[in-house]
Amino acid sequence: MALKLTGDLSERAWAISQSMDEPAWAKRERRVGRLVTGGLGLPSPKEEKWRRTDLGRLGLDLGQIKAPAPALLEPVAITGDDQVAWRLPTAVAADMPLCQAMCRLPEPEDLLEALHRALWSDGVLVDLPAGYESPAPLRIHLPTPLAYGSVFYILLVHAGEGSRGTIIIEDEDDSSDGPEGPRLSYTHVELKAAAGAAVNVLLQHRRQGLAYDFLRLRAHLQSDSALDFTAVAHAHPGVFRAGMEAVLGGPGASARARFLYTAGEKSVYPTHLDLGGTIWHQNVRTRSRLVMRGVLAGEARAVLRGFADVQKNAAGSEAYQHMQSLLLDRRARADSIPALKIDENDVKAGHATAAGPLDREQLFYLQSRGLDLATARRLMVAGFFAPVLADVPADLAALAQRALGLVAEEAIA
Amino acid sequence: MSTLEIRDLHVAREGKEILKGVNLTVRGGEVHALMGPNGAGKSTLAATLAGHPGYQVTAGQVYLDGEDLLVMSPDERARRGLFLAMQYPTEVPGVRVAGFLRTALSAREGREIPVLEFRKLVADKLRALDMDESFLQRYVNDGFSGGEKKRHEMLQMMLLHPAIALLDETDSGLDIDALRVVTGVIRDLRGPDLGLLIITHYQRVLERLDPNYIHVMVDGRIVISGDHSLAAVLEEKGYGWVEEQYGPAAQAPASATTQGAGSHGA
Repeated sequence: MALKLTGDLSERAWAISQSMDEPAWAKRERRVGRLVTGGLGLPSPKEEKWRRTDLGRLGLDLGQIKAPAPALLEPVAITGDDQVAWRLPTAVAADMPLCQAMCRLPEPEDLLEALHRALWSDGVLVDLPAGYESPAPLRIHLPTPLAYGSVFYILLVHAGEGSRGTIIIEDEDDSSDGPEGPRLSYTHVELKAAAGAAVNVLLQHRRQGLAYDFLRLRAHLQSDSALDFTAVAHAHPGVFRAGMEAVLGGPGASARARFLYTAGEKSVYPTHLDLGGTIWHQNVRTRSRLVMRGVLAGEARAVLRGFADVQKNAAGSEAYQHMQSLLLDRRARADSIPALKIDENDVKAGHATAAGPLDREQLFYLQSRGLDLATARRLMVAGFFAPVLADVPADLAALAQRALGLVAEEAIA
Repeated sequence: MSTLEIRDLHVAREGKEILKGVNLTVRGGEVHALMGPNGAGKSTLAATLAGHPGYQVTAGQVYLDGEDLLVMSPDERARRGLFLAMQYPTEVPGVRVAGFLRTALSAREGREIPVLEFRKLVADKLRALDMDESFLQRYVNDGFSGGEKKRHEMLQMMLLHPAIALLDETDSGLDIDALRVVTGVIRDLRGPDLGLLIITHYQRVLERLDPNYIHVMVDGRIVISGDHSLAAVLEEKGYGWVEEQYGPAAQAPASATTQGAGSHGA
């Protein structure tokens, strides 16, 4: 029996819990989500963090989308060092202590978060021991939902003291034909980095057809640890929302996030992209840099949010935000909303935003050398991303470039 | 051998008429120098011929080897062999010189130029221009000095072997050594397969390049054409007397004057 997301979730949540053989604490966590679904609605655009993204208006109808059925789900696939990564259902069933410590997610504030808590069915636990250096990137492949279907994932990453790791999250449709019918996915990434740890994360997101996809990454970084997060996304009809929230808790902690995006395939549905970076500087010498750069075509719209909160005791910290969108069509639109809150004097911070069409003089220059319009546009779009790609960590650069090459082609086709 | 014919060309920018009836024919093997006071319309002529979208042709015709140039897109003009070395080459951040040049060369030749072949082709041209190979890894004109930008324009001209080249003040902003290098390259390229229209203010360039014809543009028209001796007159007297005689304040004559052995017009 297919349960709609707006229907009675108890049966489906229970079935998922049974299929995982969850211990009591995990069942309790799941119940928290289930209990609040009745009282919560879709995120409201009246809230600052959802301003300009009205899911109801953007066509998300939870009455059309089914809750995940364990028997129908393809498992998350992990490639890489199997000594440091486990499928989350296995880790939860084995009651690994780290799971319980990390699975305590924040109180659900809206219906999506509550559904995620009640219906999560798969995920990964990554535990990089102290001093560990990953020999190769760890790849996590997230199966995408079927038409009218949904998936809810949890990825837990613990980086021990002085460890070094690279994680690639593959969240892409395998075929080029999207299924007919809306889909929903929600992935929560919880990351904790101990002193001196360094974690690089690359998210590759690409969908075909109407889809509503959400990714929330929460990171807590201790002294001198570093998170480098790169998201390469081709936004599809529907909504793609991805956000990083980082707490720079220890002295010298740093977070870099770069979002590279394209959007604008032809569809009767609107394409809406919502990207965010929120960083709390809670200690001395903490650094954050948020870069959002993308190309929007057709009627695509992007909402780009940045918020850095440099707190009273965060002397010697740096916080920068850069948002730049290339608008290939008149009806494409980007809303950049950078924000800095600074309660400390000894701080370097700034933000810069820009959105506009391809430069006419640059186009003419390239064309005057024989490049046809499409080739000139392609070269300029690639050039627009080049400085940001050059900044991607070496072991991810080629991959990010390839992912971006694919999405850039789609954007300007 | 190519021929560029400009007939009674009128051009406006943002509604203001700048070119008011230009006639000029440039054939393969010829070197024409176009001179004139600032604001006369020299750069407008060059940009219009290259197809810049900011200029509107309001009357007249331009033919390249008998074909209507004005209906062609800028890239089609370039692929047919028209080249404009710009006075202020545009910066294109993020696009590397190597990739740009190879793409341009492939477009001009109508085939994909393999990387190795391109490297070989470009290496000796870089040497001729006294440029380092690391130049290829930089972004197009981004952060280039004035001299580097002009050398980059010359490098493109050498690679793309145009049939008709328009050089818009390629000599401006160059020091003496760079000027020698650039004029040396132009002299080497000179031959029956290349027609050159050089916009310049400087006698020293004319001495080095020895043009067949010198034209003076005033207020959107070529008002005097002549041979090398005209340059000496201009050097001595400046443009004042030309403007007095042919400028907007003066009664415009029905046709331009020809001095010396040169000729203009089709």
